[in-house]
Amino acid sequence: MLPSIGRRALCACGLLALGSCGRSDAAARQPVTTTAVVAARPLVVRVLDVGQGDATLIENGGSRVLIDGGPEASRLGYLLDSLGLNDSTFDVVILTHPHADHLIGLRELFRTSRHITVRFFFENKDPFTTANLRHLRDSINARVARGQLIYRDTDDPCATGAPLCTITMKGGAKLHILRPLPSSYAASTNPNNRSAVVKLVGPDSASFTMWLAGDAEQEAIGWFLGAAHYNANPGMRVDVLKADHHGSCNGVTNAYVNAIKPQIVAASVGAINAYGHMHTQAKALYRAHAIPWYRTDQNGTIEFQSPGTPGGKFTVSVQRGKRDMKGPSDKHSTQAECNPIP
Amino acid sequence: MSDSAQRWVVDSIEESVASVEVDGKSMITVPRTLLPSGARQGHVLQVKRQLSPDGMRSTLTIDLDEAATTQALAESAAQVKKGVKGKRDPGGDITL
Repeated sequence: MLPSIGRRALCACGLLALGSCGRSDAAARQPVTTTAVVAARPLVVRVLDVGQGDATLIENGGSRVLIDGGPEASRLGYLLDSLGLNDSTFDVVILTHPHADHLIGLRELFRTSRHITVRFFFENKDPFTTANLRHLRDSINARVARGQLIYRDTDDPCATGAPLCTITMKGGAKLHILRPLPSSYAASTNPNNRSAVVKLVGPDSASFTMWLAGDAEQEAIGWFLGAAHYNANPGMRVDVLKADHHGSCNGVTNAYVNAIKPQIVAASVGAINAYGHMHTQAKALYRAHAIPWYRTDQNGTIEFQSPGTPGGKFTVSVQRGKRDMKGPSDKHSTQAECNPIP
Repeated sequence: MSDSAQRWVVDSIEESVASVEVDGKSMITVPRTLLPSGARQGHVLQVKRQLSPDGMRSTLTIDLDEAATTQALAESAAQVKKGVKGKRDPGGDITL
């Protein structure tokens, strides 16, 4: 059962002072010290095991953000049940781009019986022809019409024309939502390259940072590093990189990794996938840069936790397995852009 | 044996595989080589399957439906426009 993930992870992280690991109700009612109040704002990031797709849950100080929803409503529904997230509020939901493996699970958030509130929804609003996207947008529009939800375009994430919008969570963590490769670029006809980018910065910026760019491929990555100047603002160097495009070799370059310099890569990938993810070239690149990886098909949900205090270090915990594992679908890609990866 | 028809929408195309939405419901992956060479992500395809009377042969015909694609794109654009008529967004950074 999934509910053990959160508890086990907290224990593994040694954050017993926060009071979540095996404490009694009486202990939970004890007055907290000032130190404990500060410490009680941990940042928890879960790269959820949703199969071949993406869904990342971020919680900090009572605020909750979901980036993408994975490929199956039933899977995300199971996770919502397991994590006790029915009758809850998702402050921000971001659909990086409208492919089914990122989208379909999000429909579950709008199932009436779940009583889930969504305050802000971000997506690129590109016209696209699938029924899944149409149904999701119907649900969003219905809540917008009732004044229950603010619906923003990732091309204009602040609705002010600025390319970057900052969301401050109740615990002090910040999400920078960055506009994707503009639709005027030829490469943007590939929806992957229209993926919005999120840079997550922990309450203490030295304690945890993460870069998530959906399924952005090399053309978009080149734009991040070039015309968008994301390396200068907001800066791309982070602790953890959520592997673009499920560990595809077309979702990484040497310049990208040199800019990000992650300590860890987290890949969201299905064990049995027809795409060959993770590609052997991507793994070889990470290995050449001495960057270990975790992957949801072999490790289950990958959880990062930062105490959110100055100098606090982040920890990573997984449901099973170890780092740098192989998957049964991994293969060598024949794509030109991967041979070699620039 | 009866014939059957389906509406496919190409959700994504990668190296050798396409992900396809079938009749607005289920998702399947098919070899990219099965699709018309002009098929792109977002294209609507009309798929017809004919079975021979003896049940020994199945013939799949996949036609790229440009008119249906154009219509679906227009409907999608209209849906997005409709969505901006709701609660006024003051804009700016957000503090939760």
